[in-house]
Amino acid sequence: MTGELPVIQEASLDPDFKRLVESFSGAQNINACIQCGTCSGSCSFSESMKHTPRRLLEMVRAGMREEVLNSDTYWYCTSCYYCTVRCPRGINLTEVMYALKHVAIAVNKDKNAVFYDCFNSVLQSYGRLYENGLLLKLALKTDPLMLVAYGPLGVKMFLKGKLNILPSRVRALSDIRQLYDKVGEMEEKI
Amino acid sequence: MTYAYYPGCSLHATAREYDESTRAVFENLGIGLREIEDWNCCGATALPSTSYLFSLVVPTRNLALAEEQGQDVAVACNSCFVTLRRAKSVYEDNPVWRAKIKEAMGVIGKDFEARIQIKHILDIVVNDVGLETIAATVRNPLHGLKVVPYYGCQIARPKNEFAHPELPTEMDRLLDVLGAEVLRYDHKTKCCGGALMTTKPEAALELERDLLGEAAERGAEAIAVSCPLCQFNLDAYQDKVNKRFQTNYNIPVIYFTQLLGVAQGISPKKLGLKRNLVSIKGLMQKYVGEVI
Ligand code: SF4
Ligand code: SF4
Ligand code: SF4
Ligand code: SF4
Repeated sequence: MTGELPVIQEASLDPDFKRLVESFSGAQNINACIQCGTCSGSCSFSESMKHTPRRLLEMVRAGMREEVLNSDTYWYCTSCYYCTVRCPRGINLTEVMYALKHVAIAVNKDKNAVFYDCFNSVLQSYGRLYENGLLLKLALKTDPLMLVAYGPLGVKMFLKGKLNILPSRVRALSDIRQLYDKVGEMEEKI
Repeated sequence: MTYAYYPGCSLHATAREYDESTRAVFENLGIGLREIEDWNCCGATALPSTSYLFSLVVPTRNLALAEEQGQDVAVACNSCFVTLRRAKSVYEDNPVWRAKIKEAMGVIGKDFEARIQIKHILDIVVNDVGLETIAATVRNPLHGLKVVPYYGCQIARPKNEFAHPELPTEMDRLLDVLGAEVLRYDHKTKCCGGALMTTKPEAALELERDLLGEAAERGAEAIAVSCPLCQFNLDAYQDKVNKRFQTNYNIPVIYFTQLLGVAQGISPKKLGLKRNLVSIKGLMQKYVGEVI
C-alpha cells in the first residue's frame, strides 16, 4: 500500500455514491463492515494497491467518489474470493470490487480497464475468446512491444498445438449482440 | 449418466490437453459428456467491469442452453465454474437482479429457471464416481511420483457443496488413490495472479514464484491442477519467473485428468501428454515406462 489517505473535504463527499454501489447485487450490506482489516490481510495485492480493500470500502461508505474512482484497488482484484470467505460480517467484497470496476471503467483508464474493454470487444466479435485477437488489441492500445515479448511463447504454443490461428465463433452471434444492446438500454436506467 | 459439457474457450485452445484428457477419462468411466450446443464464452472475471448485468446474462445463456438439453452442467475450468455459478446464485438469491436477467434474456427468447446443477469435473470424479470406483480402474499406479495439488482460488471459493474454501482435499485424495506421493502444499488455494499477467506482470510473477517455490522446496516433481488458467500461468511463465528471480524451476504442471488417465492406462495420445509446455516426458518414462 503506497497511497496516503487524502484529506477529506466534507463538501466533496457524495452520499449518492454509496447508494449507487449498494444497488449492485452482492454489495448491499457494506454497512455491516467493522473495519477489521481481515480482507486487506488476506489479499495478495494489498502491498501494491493505492488503497487496501478495507480502506477503499470505508472510502465508498464515506462517499469519496473521486478518490475511489481514481484508485487502482479493484484493478488489482483477481476475484480470488479470499476476502469474501474470511469477512466476519459476510460482505462479498469481490462483488463490491466488480461493482466498482463497472462504475469506474468509463473514467479510469488503468491498463486492466483497457484489457477488459478489449476482452469485451473480442466477445462481441466472436462470442468466444480469441487469444490472438485479444493480445493484438491490447498491444495496439497499450504497448505494441508486448507482441515481441510474447513472440517466443506464441511459437512454442503453436508447436504444441495450443494456439488457434483462426477464432472459433458462436453461430448465434446475434444472441450476444442483442443481449449487449438490451443490457445497454437497461443500464442507462440506473 | 450424461452431463451437459461446458468446455469454455480455453479447452478449445490453450488447454486442449485438458479437454482431450477429460473426454478420455470420462469415456473410460462411462460418463457421458454432451457438449452444450453453440455455447458462448462465459465472460470470466473480465466482463463485470464492462457491464455488471452483461456479466450475469452472458453465462446465463449457456445455462439456458443446458437446461434445454435437460442435463446438469459439467465444467472443467475453475473460472468458468465460478462464473456460471455466480450467475445462477444471483438469479436464485436476488429477486431484483433475477428480474433484470430475465428481462434481458427475453430478447433472445430464452428462459432460465435454475433447475440444473453446475458441477466441476473434479467433484464429479471424486464424489459422484467415488474414490473406491476410481481405485478399481487404476492399472498403472503412479508409485513414487511426488506431486503437489494446486487448486487455485476459483474452485473452492466463494462456496460450493464439496470443497473447503481454503484447504480442499479432493485432489489430494484422488492422487493418493492413483498411488502418487502427495506432498503438503500450503499454497494450494492461493491466487496465481494470472488475471494480471499481461497487465501487471510485476505483481503476478511474484505470486507465481511463491507457488513454484513451495513446490520446489517440498521436492515436488509435478504440480497437479484443475484449471486451464492456473495451468497456463504456472506452465507458460516459468521461464519468465526464472529470468526475473534468477531461479531454475522446471516443474511440469499436469491436469489431474491427465494423471488419472495415465494411471488408468489410457494412451498418451488421447491425454495430450505432449502438449504441456514444461515437458512431462521424463516423468512418464520414470514412473510408468511410457514413451511419449
Ligand atoms: S473483512 Fe469484512 S468487516 Fe473486515 S474490514 Fe474487510 S469488509 Fe470490513
Ligand atoms: S477477491 Fe480481490 S480484493 Fe478480495 S482478496 Fe482476492 S484479489 Fe483481494
Ligand atoms: S473462463 Fe475464460 S476462457 Fe473460459 S469460457 Fe470463461 S472467459 Fe472463456
Ligand atoms: S488461481 Fe488465479 S488464474 Fe487460477 S482460478 Fe484463481 S484467480 Fe484464476
